Amino acid sequence: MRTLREWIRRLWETMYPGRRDGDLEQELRSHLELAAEDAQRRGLDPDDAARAARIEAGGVSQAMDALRDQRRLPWLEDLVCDVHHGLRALRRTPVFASVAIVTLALGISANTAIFSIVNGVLLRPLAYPRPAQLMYLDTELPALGFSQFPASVAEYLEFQQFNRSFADVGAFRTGEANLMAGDRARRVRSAIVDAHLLNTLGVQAAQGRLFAGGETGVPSPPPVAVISYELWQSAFGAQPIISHGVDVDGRRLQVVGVMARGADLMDNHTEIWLPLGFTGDERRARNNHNLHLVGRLNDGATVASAQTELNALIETWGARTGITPGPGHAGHVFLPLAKGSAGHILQMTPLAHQILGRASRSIWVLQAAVGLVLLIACANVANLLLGRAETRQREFAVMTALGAGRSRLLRKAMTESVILSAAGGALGVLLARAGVEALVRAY
Amino acid sequence: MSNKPQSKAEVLQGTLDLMVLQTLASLGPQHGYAIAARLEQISRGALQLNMGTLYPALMRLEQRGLVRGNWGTTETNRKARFYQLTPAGRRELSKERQTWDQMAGIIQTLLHDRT
Repeated sequence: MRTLREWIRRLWETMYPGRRDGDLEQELRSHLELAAEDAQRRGLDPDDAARAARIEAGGVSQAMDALRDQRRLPWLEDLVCDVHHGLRALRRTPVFASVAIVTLALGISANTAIFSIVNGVLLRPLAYPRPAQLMYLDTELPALGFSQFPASVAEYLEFQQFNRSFADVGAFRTGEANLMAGDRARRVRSAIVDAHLLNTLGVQAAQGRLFAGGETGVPSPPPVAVISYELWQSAFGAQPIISHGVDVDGRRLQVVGVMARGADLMDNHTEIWLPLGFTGDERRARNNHNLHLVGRLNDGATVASAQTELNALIETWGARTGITPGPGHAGHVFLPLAKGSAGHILQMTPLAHQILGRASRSIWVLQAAVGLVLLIACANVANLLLGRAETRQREFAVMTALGAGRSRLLRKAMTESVILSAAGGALGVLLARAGVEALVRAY
Repeated sequence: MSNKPQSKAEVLQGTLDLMVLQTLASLGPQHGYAIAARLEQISRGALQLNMGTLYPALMRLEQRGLVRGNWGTTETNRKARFYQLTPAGRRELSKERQTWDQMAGIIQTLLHDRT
């Protein structure tokens, strides 16, 4: 505690010195005069007395140094001094300084921009509660050459019924729709979802409500819609919209809710959410695959356990549903792939992987590339500094002769490098901001 | 008060501070040179304080509020800065004397007693 107080006092003294240097010097000189006086009294003549006094009492400048170390923060004053010198030295060699700063700025900006993307896209978890539990489900249909294919209504409903690993499974389709907002027609991205999907994802409404269980999955869903927060702001001017009507693809729908800000379905940029219904015909059309599925695992289930259960289900799907594999709708049922060309399975992928998938590898490669670019930039700057140091040998020799120790010289050199890095970094961050904006706009 | 063992420089500083305080207590208000001369005399020349040692010590004591300094004139009509003990300084001096006596007694016993 005492050292903290001491430190603060010294800091204060550095900024607002108590006794002025002149005052201290005067006291030291008076000390020497009194010492000389004393020596004269002992019998020395004035000159010898003065010299004797100086020898015995020490020099004024040394004493001033000792006093300075006592009151102030010497390292802080040295630092300020070094920064001054560093800036002057860099101003004297503007070409070197600008080349070094630009090199660093380019390396740093590229890395910052790409890492912003890595961080925002790859490292940030999905914006759903407990995203690790979310699995994307689709089918594989080798007979038609599809490794990723939607599921059919019947397959969805049966899976919902049979599985034990998932707390909930929901279905959706995506598309576009024509929306009349005010007097303008807009083309908006739509997501046709059932209540199970909304529950699975865990998205919330910012206003109003989402679809109720009885409104979806029925043959004729009611004419309701939920719009996104962003659409509410841009197309409806953030005016009260709940219970108002909107024209979507020629139909009049009632807006029952506004989605929370930023809520979306797998990067679909959904602007309007519509209720999903199944007619009896659609249920019977077993090989009409038009649904995407997302499920949330039970709290206790793991991906491996869910996969095991799924494999087991596929083995016995025909038996459970009473369907014998055969041609047409009536015979379309899941079958293990091992059974040859009739194989058709349901598969699951973690949702994050499904969304990012191939993109993540490219982004990581890009990150590695700009990392190397930064290394090269650093090597370049190191070379520049090395070349510069050679031409400054005389300067350092003079400083050593004046009494600068090795650590002091090292500190001076490092201060210059830090100034360069700070300038390069600041410029790099500015460039990075522009770079990220450009990248986002381009993609 | 920190508990870490005092380094050698701190011990020297502490001893010097004590000597300066005692000198001022014995002689009354004095200027820097007089304090140095007195200490040299008492120690029979063993203790020769140069300005770089003495004045930081005086500054330290002044910063801690144990002495107070004012400009004045000597008998020979020279300007000099005179230091005198403050009440806090007196208290600190007696406290330091006690500590010193105690420590000296222990060391004495340790080094010289044959028990």
